[in-house]
Amino acid sequence: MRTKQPDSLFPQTVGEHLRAQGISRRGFLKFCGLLASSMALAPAMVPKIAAALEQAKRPSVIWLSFQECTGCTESLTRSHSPSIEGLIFDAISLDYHHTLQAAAGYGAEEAREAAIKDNYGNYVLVVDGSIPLDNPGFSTIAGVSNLDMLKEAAAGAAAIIAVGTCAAFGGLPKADPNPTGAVSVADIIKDKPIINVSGCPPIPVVITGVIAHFLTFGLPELDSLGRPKAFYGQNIHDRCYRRPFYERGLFAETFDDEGAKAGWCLYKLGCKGPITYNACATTKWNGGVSFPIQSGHGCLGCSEPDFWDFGGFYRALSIPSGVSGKTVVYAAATGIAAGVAVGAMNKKGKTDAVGLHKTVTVEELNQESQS
Amino acid sequence: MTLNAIPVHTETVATGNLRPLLHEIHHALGELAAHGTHGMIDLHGLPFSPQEFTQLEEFLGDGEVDITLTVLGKTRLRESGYAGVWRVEHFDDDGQRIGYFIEVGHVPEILRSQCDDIQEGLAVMTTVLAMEEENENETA
Repeated sequence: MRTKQPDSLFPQTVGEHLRAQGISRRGFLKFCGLLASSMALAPAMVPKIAAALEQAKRPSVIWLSFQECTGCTESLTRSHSPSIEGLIFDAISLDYHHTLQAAAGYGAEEAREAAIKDNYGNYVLVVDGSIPLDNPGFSTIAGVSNLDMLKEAAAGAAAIIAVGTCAAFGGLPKADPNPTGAVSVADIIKDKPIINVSGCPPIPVVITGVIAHFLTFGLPELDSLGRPKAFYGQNIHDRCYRRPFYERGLFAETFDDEGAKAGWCLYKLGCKGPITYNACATTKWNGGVSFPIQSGHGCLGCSEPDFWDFGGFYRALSIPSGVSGKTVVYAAATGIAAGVAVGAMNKKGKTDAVGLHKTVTVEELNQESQS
Repeated sequence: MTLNAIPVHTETVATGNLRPLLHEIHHALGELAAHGTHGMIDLHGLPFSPQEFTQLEEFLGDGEVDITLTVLGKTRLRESGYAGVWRVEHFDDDGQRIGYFIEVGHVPEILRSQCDDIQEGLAVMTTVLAMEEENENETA
């Protein structure tokens, strides 16, 4: 494989960096094709992506982790090789990430301060985790509260990417009764562009796809919740390969009945696909192997606000309490209009469930499955 | 143990996306024949059942060319039974398919020598020839 060495010792553009890593132009073209595919862009955009990435400066990225479980970082770093997410992640200049960096203590914090100073106004700030407001001492890094660190880093950022449902919407730490007073990044920062990449965790290529989009075409088009439409523009249900079973009113009633074995729709087992906007059904997980519904479990709705308080992962959306499962069958059998009605029911059920903070037990689950 | 070894057999299901896709390929082939327009269809985001992938394979059939490139993992280029219609499959190091495109053109884009590489090749060849001539002049 023949490669051109960059003129400078340290490659300055993404294209130079990739070739310095031994990636040929054919490889670069493949990379751009896969990138366009992951970003749901038309294949005709591939040459434009290639040209833009070739010249894009390697961005300085500062990654701050607050009230989180490190699942978002794990999602990204565990991706297969060579993956486009891995290649993009390698192509950025990750100047601070306290989980991944070798430096610790004062050295690490000096690296963060230096990166902010050297790239002021131009770096990308990535945040995972929510921010506690009840007491700054609930979560600190090097003695600095999450709130203060976020405000300081956000001031010089070109854009902020809130990675994971915790940073985007408060996530699990914000679940009722929200003991730390957790809030999202957008609840605090009001004067910077914020891109919410929700999910628990988000799909890795969605994280890096957003970075790539920012490098090539600037800020992506966002939905009403601040999420990039390229990845969150359609709900799981609409792109689900099990949807034809929903249309025919064929549902699994338990996780081991004949319907489940035949791959029927998981709606009645609590699947939140109809109200969840994410790319799982198309991009999938683990290098495109599968996604939860394909593996036999309903969607939890993890990319939606307050998903933890939806009212039970195994409670069907349109039958929040005491409503016969026949309602679902009737709605499915009568087509699209009824589907819209079910969607409205789902939204109401979701709101009610959040208000009541319903829980579900194994006994309830079994009863519901047998009803 | 591979995924295929897990004894789960799902019911045959059709998403209804196969027929529109075949017409899209047909339209792209018409554009290539009439105007030389290169087309590409990304199959990655289309809800497709395994059965429909099989039906697509059967419809396209096999042509004369089947090439595997080693570039960021393997990439397999297969011309279909319809000249000008190519399957382009990208795989990672583990053999997992990470991209699947239908390209409609004389050759898939990734197979063509890239313009910048040609320019660099020309520069290198010019330098090598000049050095050889210089060496020959010195020995003469």
